[in-house]
Amino acid sequence: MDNLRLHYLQQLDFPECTKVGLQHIEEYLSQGSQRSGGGGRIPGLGGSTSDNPAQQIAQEFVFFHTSRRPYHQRLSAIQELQVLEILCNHFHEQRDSKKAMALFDVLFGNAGQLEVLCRLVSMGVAVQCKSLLYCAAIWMELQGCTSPNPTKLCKMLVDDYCLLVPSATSVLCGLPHISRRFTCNFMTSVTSLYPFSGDQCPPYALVEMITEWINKDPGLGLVSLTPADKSVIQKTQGRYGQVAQPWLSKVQTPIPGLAHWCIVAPLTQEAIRAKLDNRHGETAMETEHTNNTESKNLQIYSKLNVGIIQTMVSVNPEQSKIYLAMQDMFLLVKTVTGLIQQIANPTENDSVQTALDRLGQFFQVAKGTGGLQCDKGDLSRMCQSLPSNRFLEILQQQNEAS
Amino acid sequence: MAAASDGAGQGMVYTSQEIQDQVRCFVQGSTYKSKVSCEELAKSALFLLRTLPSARHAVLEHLCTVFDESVNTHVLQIELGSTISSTAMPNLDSVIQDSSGFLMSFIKINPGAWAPIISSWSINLLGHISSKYAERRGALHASGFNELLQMWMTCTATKTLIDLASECFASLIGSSPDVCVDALLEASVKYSPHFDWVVAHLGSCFPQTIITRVLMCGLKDFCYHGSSQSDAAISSVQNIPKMASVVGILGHLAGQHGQDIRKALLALFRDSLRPDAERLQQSTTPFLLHLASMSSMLLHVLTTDFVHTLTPDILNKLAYQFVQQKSPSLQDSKSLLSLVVHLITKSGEGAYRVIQFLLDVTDLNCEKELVPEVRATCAIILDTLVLDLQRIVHRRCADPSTELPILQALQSNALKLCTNLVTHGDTRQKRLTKLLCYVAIYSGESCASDILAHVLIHSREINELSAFVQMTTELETRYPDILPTTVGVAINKLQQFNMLDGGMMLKGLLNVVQWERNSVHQDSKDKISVSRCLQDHIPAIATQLSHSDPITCLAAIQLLAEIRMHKMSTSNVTRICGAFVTFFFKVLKSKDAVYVASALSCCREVVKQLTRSPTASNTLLRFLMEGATAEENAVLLGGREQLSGLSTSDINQLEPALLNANREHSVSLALPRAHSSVFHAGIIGQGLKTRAVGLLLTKEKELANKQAFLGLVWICCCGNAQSQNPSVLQKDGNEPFAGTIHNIRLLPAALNYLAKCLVELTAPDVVYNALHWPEEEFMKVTIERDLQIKKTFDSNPVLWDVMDLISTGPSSLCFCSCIIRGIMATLIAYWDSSRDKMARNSPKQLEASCRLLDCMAKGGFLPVPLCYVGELFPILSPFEVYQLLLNVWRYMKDNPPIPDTEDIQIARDCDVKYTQTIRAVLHSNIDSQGQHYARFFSAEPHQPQPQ
Repeated sequence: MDNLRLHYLQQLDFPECTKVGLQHIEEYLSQGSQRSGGGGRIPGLGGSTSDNPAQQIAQEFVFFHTSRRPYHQRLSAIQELQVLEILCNHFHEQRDSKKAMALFDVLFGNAGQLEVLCRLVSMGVAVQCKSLLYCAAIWMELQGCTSPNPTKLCKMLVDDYCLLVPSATSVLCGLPHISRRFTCNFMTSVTSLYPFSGDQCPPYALVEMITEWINKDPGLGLVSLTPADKSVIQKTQGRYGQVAQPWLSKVQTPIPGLAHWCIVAPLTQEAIRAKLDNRHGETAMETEHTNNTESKNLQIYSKLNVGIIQTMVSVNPEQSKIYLAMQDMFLLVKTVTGLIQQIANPTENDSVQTALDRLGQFFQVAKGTGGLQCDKGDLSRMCQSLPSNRFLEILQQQNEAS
Repeated sequence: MAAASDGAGQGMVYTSQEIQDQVRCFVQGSTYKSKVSCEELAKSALFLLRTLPSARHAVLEHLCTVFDESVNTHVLQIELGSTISSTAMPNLDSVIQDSSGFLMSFIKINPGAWAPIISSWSINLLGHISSKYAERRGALHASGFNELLQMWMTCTATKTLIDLASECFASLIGSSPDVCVDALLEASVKYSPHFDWVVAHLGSCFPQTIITRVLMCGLKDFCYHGSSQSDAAISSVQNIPKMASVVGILGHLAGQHGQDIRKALLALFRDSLRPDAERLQQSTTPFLLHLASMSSMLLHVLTTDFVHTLTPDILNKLAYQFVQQKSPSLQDSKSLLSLVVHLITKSGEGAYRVIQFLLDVTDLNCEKELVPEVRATCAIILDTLVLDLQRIVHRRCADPSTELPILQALQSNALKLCTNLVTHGDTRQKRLTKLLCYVAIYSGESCASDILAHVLIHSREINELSAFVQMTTELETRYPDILPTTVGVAINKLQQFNMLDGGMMLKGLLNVVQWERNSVHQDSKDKISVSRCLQDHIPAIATQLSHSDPITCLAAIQLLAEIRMHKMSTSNVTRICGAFVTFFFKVLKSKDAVYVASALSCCREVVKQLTRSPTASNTLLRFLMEGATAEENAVLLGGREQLSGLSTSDINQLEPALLNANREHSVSLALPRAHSSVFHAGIIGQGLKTRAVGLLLTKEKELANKQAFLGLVWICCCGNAQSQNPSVLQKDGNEPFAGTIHNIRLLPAALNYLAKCLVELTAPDVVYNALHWPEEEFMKVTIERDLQIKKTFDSNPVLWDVMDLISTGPSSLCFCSCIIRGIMATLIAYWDSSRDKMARNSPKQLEASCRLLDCMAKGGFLPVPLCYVGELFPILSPFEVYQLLLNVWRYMKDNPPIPDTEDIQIARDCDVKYTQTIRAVLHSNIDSQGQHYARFFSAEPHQPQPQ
C-alpha cells in the first residue's frame, strides 16, 4: 500500500506531486490516529521512526531530500516558493487544528527543515495563514521559546520584516490578529534574542510594535499561560515526551524578558551616552540626532513598561499562575548591578533611579498579582548590591512591617 | 528604526489576498505554466520583493533569468548586427532598470542587511553570465581584455549588475570589506578567466581596498594551505586556487594602479615586521615570495622597491621571525631559499640592485650590524645563484633561445658591477667575478670584451688583476679571441677618456703586463698574452706620452718599456719617436727627482726597444738632436749663458703655451670640427699674457740632464749591439760614460748618422761642407758661416758632448769636419785679435779650443804631439794659442780627414814642420812648462832636435 503510494507519486510532475503528497500524508495520519485510537498505541514509542511512510513522503515530495530523484535534488528558489505556496494553501484550507498540527509535526517536528520552516512562517505572516501560525506557536512552546530553533525563527522574522523590507513591517504589526498565541511566543523569543548586552539593542521598529501590541491588548502577554488544547498536542506527545509532561511548570511568558528590556534600557542608554561623550568632536547635528533617538527610546520604553504593568495587573488573581521565578529576579538584579557599576555616581543618576524604580514596580506588581513567589528575605537580599533608591527602601520597610 | 513608520506612512498595506494572488501570478509566470506577460511578471516580482520578504530568493532567481535573457539578446545583436533590433524583447531593459532601481534603494535604506545579499548575488550572476557567453561568437570578437570590458559595459544588463555590485562594495567597504572581497575571489576562482573584467572594473573602483583585501585573503589562504600541507607546501603552492586569482587580479590592476599595489605590498610587508605581528602576518614574506614567483609584475615590485627597505634592522627582524616561526624543517627552508634564488634569476630591471644588496650584506667589511645568520643566508643565496647561473649559462650554449632575465638586466649594469669589483676589496670578488663571467658569456663576445676591458683598465691592485686573469681564463673557453678584442677595446677607451682616467687605465694595463712578464715562464709560449696584444697598439699608447698629466705619461712610458716592440711601419715609428722625444724633454723639465729618475730609466728601456730597428734608431737620433737644439730645450742642457744675452721677451718664448695646448689634442682622437680641435691663437680680451718665469737650473741638474740625454743618444748608437757579440772596441781618450762602454761597440753607422745630423743642425748651408780643409786665407771667406756654427755650439753646449761621442767612432768625426773647421776658424780669428796677456783671461774661448782639440785628438785627426797642444793653452798667451791652432789647421789642410779608413791613426804621422811651432812655444815658456816637454817630444827619440 505504502509502496504503491510512493510509486504513484513518483509518476507525477513537480507541483502536482507535492500537492498530492500532502494529501497522502494527511490520509495516512488520519488512518494512524484511528489505528492508535483503536490499537492502544503506547505513547512515547514509535511514530517517529524515519521509515514512517508519512515522513518518507514529506522528505521526498515536499523537501525533495532523496537519493532517488537526482534531478530534483535541489529545488530552485522559485520552485521552493512554489512549495511554500502549496504548503500555505494547504494549511489555510485545513480547518481542523488537530490535523494541521499533525501534518506540521510530520513536516517540521524533528527540526530538520528549519530554513524551510522559517520561510514558511514568514510567508504565513504575510498571507495571514492562521492555522499555520497556530501550529508554529505550539511548536515553539514545545521546543521552548528561548531555545535555539525558535529563536532562529524569530530572528528571521525580525530580519525579514524589520530590517530587510521595512515597508512590510505593517504586515507584522497585524500579527495578533492572525494568532495571539504565536505573537506571545514571538515576543518571548525576541526578548531572549536581544538580551541588551553590549550594543545589541532591539530594532526600534520591533520595540514600537511590541509596545503597541501590549498596550492595545494587555492580555496578549499571558496567552501562553492558558494551555493549548490537549488533543492538539496529544499526537505529538511522543516526540516531546519529556517536555510535554511538565507542561505547566515550564511555561514561558514574554513578561520577564520585556521587563528586563524596560529596566535595562535606561542604563544602556546611559552607557551609550557616556561613550559618545568620550568621543568628542561630534557635529551639532549628530548630537541632536542622538538626543532625538534617546528621547524617543526613553519614551517608548516607559510606554512599554506601562503596558507590562497593565498586563500583569490584568491577570485574574483567581486563576493566577506563577510566571516569574525568584531566580529570574536575581539574574536580572545581577545584570543591573553590572551595568550600574559602569556608571559614575549612580545614586544621583536619573537613569539609574528610573531603572531601580521600574525594578521595584515590577517586583511589587508581580508579587502582588501572584506571579512571583518569594520569601521575606528575598527583597533585602535583592537590594543588597543595588544603590540606594527611595522606592526600594519604602518597599523594604513595608516588607519588614508586614 | 524609523523605517516601520515610513512603511506605514507609505500607506501601502496589502491584504493577504493580494499577496497570495501575486505569489500565484509570479510562480505561474516564472515557471511558464501560464502565459504571463513579461511586464506583469516583473511587476509581481517587484511587488513580492516589497511585501513578501521570504520570496526574495525566488525573485532574485527570477531576475537572474531576466538579466541572462537580456545579455543573450545583446550578444545576438552583436552577432547578427542590429537586424533583430529590439522587437523580441522590448521591455527587458525597462524591467532591468526598474528592478535595479528597487535594489539600489534597498541598499541605500539598509546597506548592512542588503548589501551582502545583493553583492554576492550580482557577483555570482556576473560570473555565470560572463562564462556562459564567453564562447559565443559575439564575445569572441572581443579578444583583448579591454575590448571585453568595453563589450560588457555596453550591455545594459551587465552594466546594471556591475553598478549594483559596486554600490554594494561602496557601502560595505567601510564596515566589512572581507565579505565582498571573499565573494569576489571565490567567483574569480570559479569563473576565471572570464570573470577577470569584473574584478578589474571593481578593482579600479576601489583600488586600495581591493588590493589590500585581496592580498590579505591571499595571505590567509596561503597560511591555511601552507600549514595544512606542511611537507609539500612549496610544491602545492601552485595548487592553491586563490593564489592564482590573487595574482590575476593584481595583474589586471597593475596597469592603472601599480603605485597602489606597490604601496599595499610594502604596507603588508611592514606590518609583518611589527613586534606585535600575528602568526598570520609572520608568513607574509614567504607569501610575497610565492606571489612573486607567479607574476613577473609583482616580482618587479619586489626586486625594485623592496630591496630598498631591507635595512640591517629589518633583516635582523626577519631572521628572528624566521627562527621563531614553527622551527621550519630543513626541507622547508631549503625550498624557500631555492625559491629566492629562482626569483633572482628571473628578476629583470631590479637585478642589479638585488645583487648589489646581497653583496653588501655578505661583505664582512661593511660596518652594518647584522646577525651572522643573515649574512650566512645571503652568502648561501649568492653561492647558489652563481652555481645556478653557471649551469644555465653553459647549458644555454646548446640552446641559445633560453632567456635569462637577470643576466639580461645585469648586462646593462655590467660596467657598474665591474666598478664594484674594482672598488671593493676581495671580499666580494670571487662571486662577482663569476657573475661577471656569466654575464659576459650570456651577452656575447663584444659585451664580454667590454667587461673584460673595463676590469683590465681599472685593476690597480694585484687581486683585481687576479680577477681579470680568472675571467680571461674562463671566457677564453668560450671566446678564444677575447683577449685581442679586449685589448683593442681598452686602447680605444684610452683615447676617448678624459685626462684623469688615462693614467689609471694605463696602470691597469701595466699591472697585467708586469704580471705576465713575471709568470710567463710557466705558461706556454703560444698563449696569447696582453703584452703581445698590446704590440699592435704601441702608437696609441705612445700618444699618451704627450698627455698633460705626468702620471699618465709615466704610466705610458712604463708600459712602453714593458712591451717588446716588433717591426713597425715608418709612420708609426715616426709618431712614436716624436712623442717619445717630446716626453723626454718634458721629463727633463720636471722638478720631481723621483719621477724623473723612474721616467728616465723607462726612457732608456724604451730606447733600447726602439733601436732594434735601424730606422727607428736613426729617427730617434734625429729627433733627439732636433729636440736638444730646439730653443725651448736648450736651457735644459746648459744653454744658459747664451740665453742670458737674450731679451726678456725671448725668455718668455721658452714656454710656448699655445703649442703645448695644441699638442695635447694629439692625445685623443681628432674630433673633426669640435671646438677643442680648432687651433686658437690666444684669448681675446685678456690683453697681454702673463709672463712666465724663466727656467733656472742648477749646475747639477744641468749635468744630470745632459747625462740623461747623452745616455739616450748613446743607447741609440749602440743599436742592438748588446745582443750581438760584444767585441771590444779599442779606444783611447776619456769617456764620459761608465766603464761598460769598453765592452760595447757603438755602431759606426749610427755614429755617422749622428755626425751628419750634427752637421745639418749646425751648419747653415751646404756649400762649404766638404771634408778637406782649405788654405788659412780662406777663413776670411767663410767667416760669417763659421761664426754661426760657433754660436750654435755656444748656445747648445751639449753639442760638444755629442761631438765627443761622435769622436769615439772610428771615422765618424770626419763627417763633422766642416763644423770643426768652422769653430777652429772662429777661434783662430779670436786669438789672433786678442790682446790679453794670458789666454786664460778668455775662459770660454779657451775651453772651446781645448775641447775642440780634444775631440780632434779622440777622433784621430791629430798625431801625437799635435793632439796634446790643447793641454798647453791655459798657460799660454793668446798669440801662442793662435800660433798653435794655426799649426793644427795647417796640418789638417795637409792631412784632410778621410772617412772609412780603419787605420787612420797609423797613416797619420806628424811631420817635423808641424812640431816646430810647438817646440818654439815650449821653449819660450820653458821656465814654467818644462816638465811638460817630455810629454811632447820624449816619445820620439828618432826625431832630430830642431835647434
